[in-house]
Amino acid sequence: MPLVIAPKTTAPQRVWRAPAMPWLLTWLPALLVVLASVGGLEAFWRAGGVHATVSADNKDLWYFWRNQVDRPDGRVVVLLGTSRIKCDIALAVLEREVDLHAVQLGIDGITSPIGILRDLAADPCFKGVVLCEMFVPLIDRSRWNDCDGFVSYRPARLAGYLDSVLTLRAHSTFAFLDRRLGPLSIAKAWSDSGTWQLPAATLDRCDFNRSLGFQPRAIALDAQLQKQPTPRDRFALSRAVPFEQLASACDEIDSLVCVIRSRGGGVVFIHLPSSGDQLADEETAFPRTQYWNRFIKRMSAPCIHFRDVAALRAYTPSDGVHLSEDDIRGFTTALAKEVERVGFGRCVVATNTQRS
Amino acid sequence: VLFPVPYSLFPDSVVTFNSFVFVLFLAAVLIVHSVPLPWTIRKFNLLVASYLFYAAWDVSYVALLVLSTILNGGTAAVMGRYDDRTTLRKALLWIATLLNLGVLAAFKYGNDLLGLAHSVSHRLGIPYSPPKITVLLPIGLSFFTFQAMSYTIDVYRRTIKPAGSVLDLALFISFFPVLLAGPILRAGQFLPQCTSPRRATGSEFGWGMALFTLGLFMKVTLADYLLSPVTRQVFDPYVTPDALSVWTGTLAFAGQDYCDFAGYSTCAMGIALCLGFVVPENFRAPLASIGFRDLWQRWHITLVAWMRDYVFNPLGGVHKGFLHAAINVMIVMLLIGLWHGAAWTYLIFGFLHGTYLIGETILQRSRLRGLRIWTQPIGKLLLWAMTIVLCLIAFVFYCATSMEHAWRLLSMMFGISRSALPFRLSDWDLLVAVVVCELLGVAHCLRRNASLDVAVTRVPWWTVSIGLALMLVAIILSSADTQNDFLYFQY
Repeated sequence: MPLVIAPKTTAPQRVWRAPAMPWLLTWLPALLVVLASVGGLEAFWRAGGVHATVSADNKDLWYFWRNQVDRPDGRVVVLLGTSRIKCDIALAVLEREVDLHAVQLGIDGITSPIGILRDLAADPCFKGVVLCEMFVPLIDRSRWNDCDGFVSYRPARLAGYLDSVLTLRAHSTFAFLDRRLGPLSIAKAWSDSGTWQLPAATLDRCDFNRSLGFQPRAIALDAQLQKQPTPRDRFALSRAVPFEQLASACDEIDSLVCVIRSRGGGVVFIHLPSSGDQLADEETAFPRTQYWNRFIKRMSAPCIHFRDVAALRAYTPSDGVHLSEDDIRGFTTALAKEVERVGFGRCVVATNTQRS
Repeated sequence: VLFPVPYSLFPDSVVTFNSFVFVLFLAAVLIVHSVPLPWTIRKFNLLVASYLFYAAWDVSYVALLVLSTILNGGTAAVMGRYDDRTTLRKALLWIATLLNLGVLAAFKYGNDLLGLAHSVSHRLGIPYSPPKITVLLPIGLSFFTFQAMSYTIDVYRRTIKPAGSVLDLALFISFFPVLLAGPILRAGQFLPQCTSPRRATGSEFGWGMALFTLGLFMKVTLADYLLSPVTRQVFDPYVTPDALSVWTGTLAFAGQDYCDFAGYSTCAMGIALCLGFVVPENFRAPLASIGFRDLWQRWHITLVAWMRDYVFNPLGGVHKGFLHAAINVMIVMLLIGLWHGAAWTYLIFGFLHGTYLIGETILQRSRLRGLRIWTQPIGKLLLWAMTIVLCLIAFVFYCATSMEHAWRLLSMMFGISRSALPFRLSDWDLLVAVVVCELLGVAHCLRRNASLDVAVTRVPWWTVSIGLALMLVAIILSSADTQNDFLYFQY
């Protein structure tokens, strides 16, 4: 027996032949079965209340939308802030109401939008309107770099970026592509607990336009989270600092506003609704007279506090911070009217809505 | 570890067959290829598509493909022109080979060689701190370099004539279906296909798409979705798994590695067939191997055949006695080990397979061969099981991150050492890994002596139809969860 590797009898020159088979007849039923299967699956999940979703803060998606804000005619309204602005404002309604192209650049968590505002101010092509969520902890300069990972993000390769965007588009269209509903996830959960139920998290969603949507069950879950000893928002409240320490930060923010306004753009700061314990905690940590009122005095841009506008005050977040899907259309309409009233924060009209 | 495993240099974003962009790209290429244009223009389109495919990863490295074409095409052309000048031909062959291997070594082992130089100089007391090379390892470098080298060597050997057209040669070196991870083509197979217009028939297109679907299913569903989560847990260097987990994890890795690589090769065969080209098969039911000679005739067939023709046989092959042949086998296996990367673990992987091959031959030459048991099913089953177990032991070195890691895993595997709190795969992970690998093994045993095209002809069309539908649904559902690059791009 000779010692050989790969004797010539297994030469790679072996030719593949297409098996004699009615390939059209083979492929057609297969494709029909695939369409029926995924269609049925999609219908099943949708009937169960599942929405198609993408991961909330995908950097490729953020980059995609960041590139949509530079319009020569400046007919764009950009939303900056946290999950609140992503959740509370319906982009389609806003676009219809203000007749501007709306782009959502908010980022989940207690992330200060000022880093993104600075980026827009530094962008000579940006001439649009910024609706910037404002909440006292977000003024803190130590938070301004929260979004640097997004602002400085550039896709490594065009093909990878395109693939990522196409994948996100597919995920935002089809509910069955939700990874939490994958066969392995379901089988694993079932084998662990002997039963399986729809994960509560699948009841919220992030659309391709980066809007968040909470259904009542998901809101209820979030409300429970907010009540836990270390809630996500309240950790920020524990770091309250005197306003004097924030004053220079406010001045710098206003200088960014001035830059945007000097190009014909506009900025409006918005304090979105809070309720219940969350609102009480906010008021305790940052008494309005000592913080918000002093903040708006330093801003040349209009500032809207939800408590100052009756139409906005009517909406109450049931988890303390996020409006439910039932409320966001009405809230957006009311907010759009208020934003229009203050002239989109452009230089022509700039009236703060603080009335007290 | 003497040399670090070069994963850090591996690109993180490649246009892979399992991506939306590639599907769109392929659709565009197929449409353009089907337009009734002159054959030369269609070949040119394929060449442009191949360069675009590579440029999607890094446009500057397309220059490597062009340079390889110029170097090997030019060398072969001069050899063909001066057919009677033996010395000149030999000198040209040496120069081309050294340049090809030099580029390969510089990119693939540059940092490791500099690190070695630093280590040696340090021990000799010579102060030398080499700079670190920070360029990316071009994906698929060894695959297209080996293809190009085989062309030059074959022309030198007069096995083939120099390519009549630069376009054909450029397409041979950069043909996109096989560009990143093989199968490694030979000019003798490919260039004749470039001489006449190629367009897939309806059957070829249907079969090509079926192969593409099968390859994606192997990669997306079996390798990435089902097996990769298991192996990731076991081969985490910060974890000490128990014996059962190491055995199962290694089995899962064997399945994942096979599905990943064979999945790519199957996709490549399918895509090429849809374009009217035939490329060789790279795997033939390796999980049904009985013995290591059998294994290496079934696993990465085109690389092993390349090594046989361009390393093993030139070293003397089997013609200078058993000892010489054993040394040659060991050299080839060590090279195959090092081909995976400059790490001791890969070297040991190659050494173990060399030892297995030599040991198997010694056993076959001994009286043991005459025992009746080897011809009976139980004997074959025993040999198959031994092959799998020995393979798994070698795989531990293949996927461990360092020698220390490999020894730790092996000592847990054989109960030599114990951990106070060993990691244990969940029952679910154990079940998934064993069932998937078992099904793969059964499928391979059933078609052990038949290639896939022959096996498919044995079943009715509607079975194939159901199989395609199930695979497509599985691909769609599992692709949502993960998308990993092919493991072998880095080689």
